[in-house]
Amino acid sequence: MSRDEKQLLYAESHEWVDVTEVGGAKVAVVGISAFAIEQLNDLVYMDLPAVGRVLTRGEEFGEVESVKAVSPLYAPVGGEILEVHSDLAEHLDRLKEDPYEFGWIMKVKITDEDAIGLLLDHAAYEKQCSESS
Amino acid sequence: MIDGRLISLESHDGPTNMAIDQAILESSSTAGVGLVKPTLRFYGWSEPTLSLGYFQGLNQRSKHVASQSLAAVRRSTGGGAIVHDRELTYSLVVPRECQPKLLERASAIGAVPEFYDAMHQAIIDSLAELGCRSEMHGVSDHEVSDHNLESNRDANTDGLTQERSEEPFLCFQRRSSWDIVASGYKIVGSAQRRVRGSVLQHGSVLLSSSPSAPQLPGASDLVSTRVASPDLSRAVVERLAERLRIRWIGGSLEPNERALASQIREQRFADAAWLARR
Repeated sequence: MSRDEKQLLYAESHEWVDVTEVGGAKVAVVGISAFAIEQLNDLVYMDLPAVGRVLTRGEEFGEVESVKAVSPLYAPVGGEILEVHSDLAEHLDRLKEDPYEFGWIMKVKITDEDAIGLLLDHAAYEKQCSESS
Repeated sequence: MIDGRLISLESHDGPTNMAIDQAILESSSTAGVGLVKPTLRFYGWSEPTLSLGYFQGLNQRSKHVASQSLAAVRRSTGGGAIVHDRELTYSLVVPRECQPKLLERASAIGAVPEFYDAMHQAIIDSLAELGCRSEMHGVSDHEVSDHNLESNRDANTDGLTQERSEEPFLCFQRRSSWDIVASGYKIVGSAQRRVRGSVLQHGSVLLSSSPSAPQLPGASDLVSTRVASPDLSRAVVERLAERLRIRWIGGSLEPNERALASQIREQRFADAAWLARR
């Protein structure tokens, strides 16, 4: 079953976050929003981070090349990268069709749970998008 | 009208040129509100240099025979490789804070079409003033009637390789929206990088053909007059001021930008491992 985008949290920099519980720890599944993918237009390359890397909130964790621009991706929460969607870079065409399920980029064991409260809910994120696009 | 900083034509090696652009971009994305201005910079290359697009593999260059002996640098921007030799190169950095004053709508991610439009229209008008008619390539990639693409097919049999997505190795043998073509040849190409909402756009205007990429003519090869960097840069400054409503005032790098550029040069653009990272 596909993730419901209305139930996800969002960073101002357009990453979505699905906070789950795994073995008592909070794990964030992270991707980029349908709005961002639309803005990026045709994606041609994506750089993914390495498993085990420890991110701080707001740190650059990857980059995407779209038509006529390279844009960084920023960590919406801090923590250790547990898993990376290694197939994604080879199937960027599928990202647009399915940003919230196939389009997950990484799973992060959250170390700064306070950061979750700083993320936007879907309504607030939509408002930001309508003002900036 | 807002004020912008103009850094006049200067020449450096590849790593220094790329590091200065990156330092201006990164400084503009970390400074506080109101402390930064747009920067327009023109530059040349102290030696002919091949720049790879950010995502290009270093091994791809071995297939382009004519440029193999050149120094190489990896850009921070995407697209194809460029032989920087007889060209005018520019960079435009617009801090995030300035964008609401210049754009109807500012997006924090992806390309900013308005800056491609403004700069490339300014270049088209300036080239026309200097006797070279050119136009924007408005159609999406791979229009087949262009000469560079025909010469590309020839070049491919002569050793050029096709990358992923069947893209030619050289930027000037590719086509995308906003490219500038004259007599069917691409003579101007640009690319952008975003950092925390700020935008770096840099690009090359081919002035004449390089021995290291002889299949690519420049503006002077297509008209009877010589298009020179000082004349062209002067004209572009005026045109871009009108289009972006920015008053360009002569300036230089701040000490913190110089220090950052020096650091970025050593850690990134002059680092052999960084060049070979793909």
